[in-house]
Amino acid sequence: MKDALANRPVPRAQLLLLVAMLALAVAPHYANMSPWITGFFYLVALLRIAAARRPGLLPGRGLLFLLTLLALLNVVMNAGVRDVQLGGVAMLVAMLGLKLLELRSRRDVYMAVFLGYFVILTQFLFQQGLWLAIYLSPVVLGLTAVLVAMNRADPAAPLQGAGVQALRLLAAAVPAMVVLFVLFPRLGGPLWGFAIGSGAAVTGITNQVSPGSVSQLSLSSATAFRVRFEAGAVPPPQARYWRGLVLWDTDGRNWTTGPPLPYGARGSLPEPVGRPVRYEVTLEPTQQPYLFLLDLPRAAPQDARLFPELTAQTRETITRRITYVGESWPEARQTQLTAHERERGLWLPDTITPRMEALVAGWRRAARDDAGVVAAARNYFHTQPFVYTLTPPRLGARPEDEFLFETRRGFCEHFATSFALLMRLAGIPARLVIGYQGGEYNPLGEHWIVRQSDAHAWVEVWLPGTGWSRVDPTSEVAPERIEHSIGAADATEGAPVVFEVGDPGPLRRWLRDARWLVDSVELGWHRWVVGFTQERQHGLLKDLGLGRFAGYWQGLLAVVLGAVALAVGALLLRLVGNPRGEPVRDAYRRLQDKLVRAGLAVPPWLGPRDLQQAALSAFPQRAPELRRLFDLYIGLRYGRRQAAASERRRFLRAVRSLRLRRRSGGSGHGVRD
Amino acid sequence: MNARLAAWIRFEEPHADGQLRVHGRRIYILPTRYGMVFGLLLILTLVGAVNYGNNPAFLITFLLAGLGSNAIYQTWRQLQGVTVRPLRAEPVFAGEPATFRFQLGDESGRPRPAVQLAFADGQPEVVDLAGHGSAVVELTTPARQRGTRRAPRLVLATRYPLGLLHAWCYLESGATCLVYPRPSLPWQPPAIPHYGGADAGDRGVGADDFVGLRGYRPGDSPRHIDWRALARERGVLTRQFGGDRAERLWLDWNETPGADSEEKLRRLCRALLDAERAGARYGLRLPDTERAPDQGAAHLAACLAALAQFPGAVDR
Repeated sequence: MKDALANRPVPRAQLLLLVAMLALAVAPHYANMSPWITGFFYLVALLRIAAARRPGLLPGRGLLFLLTLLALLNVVMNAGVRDVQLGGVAMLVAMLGLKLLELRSRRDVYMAVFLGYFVILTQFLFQQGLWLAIYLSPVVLGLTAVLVAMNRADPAAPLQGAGVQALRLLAAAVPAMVVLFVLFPRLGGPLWGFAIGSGAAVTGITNQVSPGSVSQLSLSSATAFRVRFEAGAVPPPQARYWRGLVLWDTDGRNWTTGPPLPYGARGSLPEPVGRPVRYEVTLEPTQQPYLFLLDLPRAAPQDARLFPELTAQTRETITRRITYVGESWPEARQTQLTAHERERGLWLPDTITPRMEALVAGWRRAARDDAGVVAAARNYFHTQPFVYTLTPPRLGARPEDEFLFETRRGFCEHFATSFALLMRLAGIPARLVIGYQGGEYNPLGEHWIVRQSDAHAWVEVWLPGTGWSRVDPTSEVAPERIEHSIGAADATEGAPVVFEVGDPGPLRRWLRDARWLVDSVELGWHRWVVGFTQERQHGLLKDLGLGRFAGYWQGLLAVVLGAVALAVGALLLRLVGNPRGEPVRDAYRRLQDKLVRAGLAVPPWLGPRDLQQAALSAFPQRAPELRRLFDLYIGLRYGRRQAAASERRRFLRAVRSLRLRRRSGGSGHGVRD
Repeated sequence: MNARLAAWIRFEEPHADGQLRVHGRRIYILPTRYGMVFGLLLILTLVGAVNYGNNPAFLITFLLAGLGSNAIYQTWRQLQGVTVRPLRAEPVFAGEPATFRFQLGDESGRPRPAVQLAFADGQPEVVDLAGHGSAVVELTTPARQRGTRRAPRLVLATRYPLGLLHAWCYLESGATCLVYPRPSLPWQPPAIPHYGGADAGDRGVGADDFVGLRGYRPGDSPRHIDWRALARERGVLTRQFGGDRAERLWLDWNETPGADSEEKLRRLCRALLDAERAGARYGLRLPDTERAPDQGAAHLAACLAALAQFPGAVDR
């Protein structure tokens, strides 16, 4: 049988809805590719919207061909052909734009909607955030509503109805989506080619520290990572040092990791002492391979490797949020020191000044051993008038010297680098560690948020007998730094840092709670959606008692339970019932109730015409109102034409506002039905 | 349609009250072209999601897969329980299209937008059925031969809500439409005297009562020319008048010329129409039935029906 709707022209309202939804679907790509690509799309979309009123604006065949060439050229020039994915997505956007100009038939609309679904999917190739998903959900709904609207007999029916229907259909699909999502077998790795990255600059720790690099980072309240500790094993603030990188080499100004330690230097794992802490870190994309682990790890998380300095890196750079599980031993110490490490740990740049040498020589004379020197140095930072500030003054050619003896205002990297240099001057092997320290507890998500503003640099010195020991000179100057996060920094030149201590006041408390809530939802999204890897899937299946199903069996289980979920969704929808109830009929019932209450007998067999007559003779003073009311109802209920929504609303309003005085002497007990 | 295939197909038949109700098991459902493209899209998105290990892409894919699968059920449900009641079809003359009317109804209370009804080989009509509502659909089919035209097999179909699936079912409505013979060209039926005798006696040929039409002959009074027939381009006819024998005009099968019975029926049909229009009282005499002289729409219909049902008709 032929389809009665097949050759209908596309109604304008549906066309505009479609164009609007496609425009929304494409919008986030603005951040992912050259503005020429999205720009072309939006120009075409504007033209299409204008042409909805004046069809003459649509390009003819020749012009369309020219536009197609132009779009192709645009893609080749501005998206390139080297990055296959990016080029492909750009091509898709361009094609979608051209399709807009050809939206004539039902077939074109379907193609455009399907392309729209696909464009939505491509958004997630670039970014997988919760906000993007929230933004795109109504777009999926809108596109589905276009399909529904295209399949109704009355092309002029209001679009809300189609929207509601689309919402119901999608809602019924949600259980199946969840089941399939949980059960569909995940592969460990990609099928082929992997990298598709936005390459956007991301703030975060890099493998180099220079004066000002960490303090710059501290101005950002962006989340670096989130941590969940195994229940009841949260280390105290002074133990929450998140190790990222160990820097050995310096030219007096910059510190770098230098060449990796030679193979012979390995095998210096710390002995397991005390009790380990287990935790799960959800790391924001950094475009770097570094993982952050609590002091001190003994093994690398899965798919990462551990370096002799007890830092861990992934094989590829981290271009998307990842989740990893770590295990650390806060009381463990690395007790081995190779000759190579000693050499690197004692190496001095040529920016050492006599003042520095004299300072260290004084400590060395007074101390009995290396530990004594370290204590003296810490005491020096503690007693001298050092100021902890986000905006230290600029330093010249010999920065450590200037900082130690002149400016004395600095951020953690100033304290740490100068401390490390002084230790090396004293003959104590020292290395710089950068990472994060502290974190904010989110009671809603029961996790810790570590922000970029928690970036920190500290020092490890090698002491005979104890091994590598952490020294944080910043804590000598600003012990609050270790206990609290940095607050809204007063970033004027040289001003001391203000810490978040005490009660922040109701408004800020409320804001903080809201932030926590958002943060936990985001982490939940990441943990359970974006970061739902093969391992996590296996873990969940085991927890659900479905651990026996693996491989093909798991796929089969997914199909079977998916079908069950589909049925459940459809059934739930049936139970919830039809949202497009019969407001008119219900209102008529209320009208009958009002008449009954006013003393009119309303037998159930009385049709609206007869009831109108009865009501008119019973309440002659309300005759015009009642006449209009019943006429409206009869028109709505029995009228041949599809009733206008405004008419329906008028009737509902009229019923609501009808006030009838009780008839004196009338029969008090009316019946309705 | 292939006879064996036709025998295999399931279809609905009317209940005792003449109403048909669509049962779920008689509904066929297949993806449309768009449904197949949608399936292809799903495969593509799934491959993409697997390849990139992209979980939000999995979410979208599974949401769309759920949507598509749910659409199978929803589309099926659009037809399930729809009632179809054949309404009386007005008789037509052979050669005219027969118009059948069907009342589609819903008893479940859920709206059923865009239900399409068509004859198996015809153009579909589409209506939005409201919950508990009903709508009348008119379908036409050519009626070439006189007799009783049975409504062709009905196809009730829908693609709502998404157009990805096409659900349909076949209905044998059992509806019939009476097809009168196609009227012949005008002719002059012989005025058969009525030997039964009238109470008031035979008054012979006169000028009071119209008895019929005959071809114009020169000399006929212009007052007796049937101008209406002329206006309808049926040629110049003269109205004949007679005495009260006009009351007793008999149209007799045996007196009707014609090569075969169908031609005779066509001529009788024409004569009946002309007599009724002229306001005469006329009777119809067929080999096996007889209708006493009378006039009026009901009488005409009864006479025409007798012609339509004359033995030898091809019922189809």
